[in-house]
Amino acid sequence: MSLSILKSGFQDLIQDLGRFGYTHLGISPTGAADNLSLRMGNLLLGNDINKAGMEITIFGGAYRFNKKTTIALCGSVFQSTINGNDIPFYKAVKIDKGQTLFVGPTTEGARCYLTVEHGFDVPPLLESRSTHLMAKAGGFDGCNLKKGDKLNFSDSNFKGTFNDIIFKIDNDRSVLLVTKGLQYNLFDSSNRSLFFGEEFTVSHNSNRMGLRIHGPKIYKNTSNEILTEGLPLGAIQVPGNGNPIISFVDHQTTGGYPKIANVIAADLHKVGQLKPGDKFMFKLVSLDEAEKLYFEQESLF
Amino acid sequence: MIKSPIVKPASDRTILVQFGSGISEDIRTHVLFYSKAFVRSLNSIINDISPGYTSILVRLKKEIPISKGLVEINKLLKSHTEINISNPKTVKIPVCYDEEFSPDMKRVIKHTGYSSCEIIKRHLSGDYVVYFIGFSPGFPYIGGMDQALETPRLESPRFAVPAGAVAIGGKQTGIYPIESPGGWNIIGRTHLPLFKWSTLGSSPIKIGNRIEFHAVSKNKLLSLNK
Repeated sequence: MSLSILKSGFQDLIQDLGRFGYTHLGISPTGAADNLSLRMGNLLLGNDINKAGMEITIFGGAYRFNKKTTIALCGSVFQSTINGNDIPFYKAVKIDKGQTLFVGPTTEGARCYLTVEHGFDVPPLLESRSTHLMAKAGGFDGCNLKKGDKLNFSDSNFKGTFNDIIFKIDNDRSVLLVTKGLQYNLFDSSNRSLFFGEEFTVSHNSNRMGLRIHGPKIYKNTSNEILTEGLPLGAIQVPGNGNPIISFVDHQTTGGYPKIANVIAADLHKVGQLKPGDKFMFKLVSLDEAEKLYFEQESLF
Repeated sequence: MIKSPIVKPASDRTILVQFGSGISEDIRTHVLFYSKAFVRSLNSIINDISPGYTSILVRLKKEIPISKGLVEINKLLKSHTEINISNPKTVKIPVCYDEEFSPDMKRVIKHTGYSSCEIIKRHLSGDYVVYFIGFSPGFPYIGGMDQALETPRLESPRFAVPAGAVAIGGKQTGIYPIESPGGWNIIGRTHLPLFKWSTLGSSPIKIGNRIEFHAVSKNKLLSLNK
């Protein structure tokens, strides 16, 4: 096999850009939490942007390469070495057979992505190689990689030099831009002022399904419940306890809590980089502004 | 009479099509009809959809702007002058209500004031229909339960509800197709596999299907399991 997991990290997952077309069956798309970083990792190696990479969260492990390839590490910078030497991020790096990559703790945000030439070769499930944790399916055995697991990838065939294609992406996570949520009107002006005027902290009880955040308690102005409806990615739900939840890549496809706001698509990669203890504020923008930022970001790829 | 729904952005990448504001048979058939129509005809602009009790959430493909999505959805809505729903299939589901499989029966007894026998009798006699599939892979939101069985969701959801658990959440009943977290009141268990990746299209439980529960003993459930 091409890569052996000698030691796993906090949560090492195989992810591509997601499994689309099945939410009407309750299957959320999943996919990379920071898909800009995964796409960059693939572009650096000349891969198709949807090739599967390894999403490494908070701290990584030790990975031995049993054949030569080229790798890239993108996303937040984690303390990492290859055979004892520091390894640069956002750069294609040639790897020889027998070398071991150590990925230590993050020095910035929550996640980095390890990509290899041609991508990790796990069996596709409904045209995607993303791990669906709730259904324990897809990716590698439907779960986090563990010590002793072995991954395959195709033989190295790159003959030229790799480009260092780095896009300038806004990674300031102190402010998340949002548009109005479907139930924005159920929150009165004092609750809106709290929501947009005060700082929130990411709770330890957060994962790829949702980020629980603590700050001012937010309450809707009616005791009526809303009927369960489709949940957009990035929707900020407010349950009865007043602590909002940002629905994320593994989110349930429908939800019954009122949604005060929605993180704009162009800022979703920042949500993927937030980690427990991080502090930030929400800022309201118009749909037009959100869409403009999204298409500007997409035009880079 | 066809409803003119409200079509509005729900985020910068999604659009909500809202057919009304309460649970009703008329709205349900609109959601069912247009869910199928959207999947069939809007492939070029949408990634996927999530039907709900009164609405359909449409998730746009990454290159499609909201304005284009609104135009195409409105065009499709206007192109239909009547709602045709084919006769729904009825799916019979064996449920074992034994104590071992009904950890929340006590909560339902407390909230309804009925005995467990009465609860089972009423749960078996509902006029059930699958409103939509949501929450987790294959999870059916089943409406039509005897409203006297209404029981609020657990204060704190369970970390893992077993596959096949039959449960009451508020005014609805549902079945957990795979092991997942969940906050509904578990009152029974079925052996029927409701979700398989390899046979997604032929799942026994689909949006619009009618459901009939019938009670089986624990021995019967275990023998069906084999």
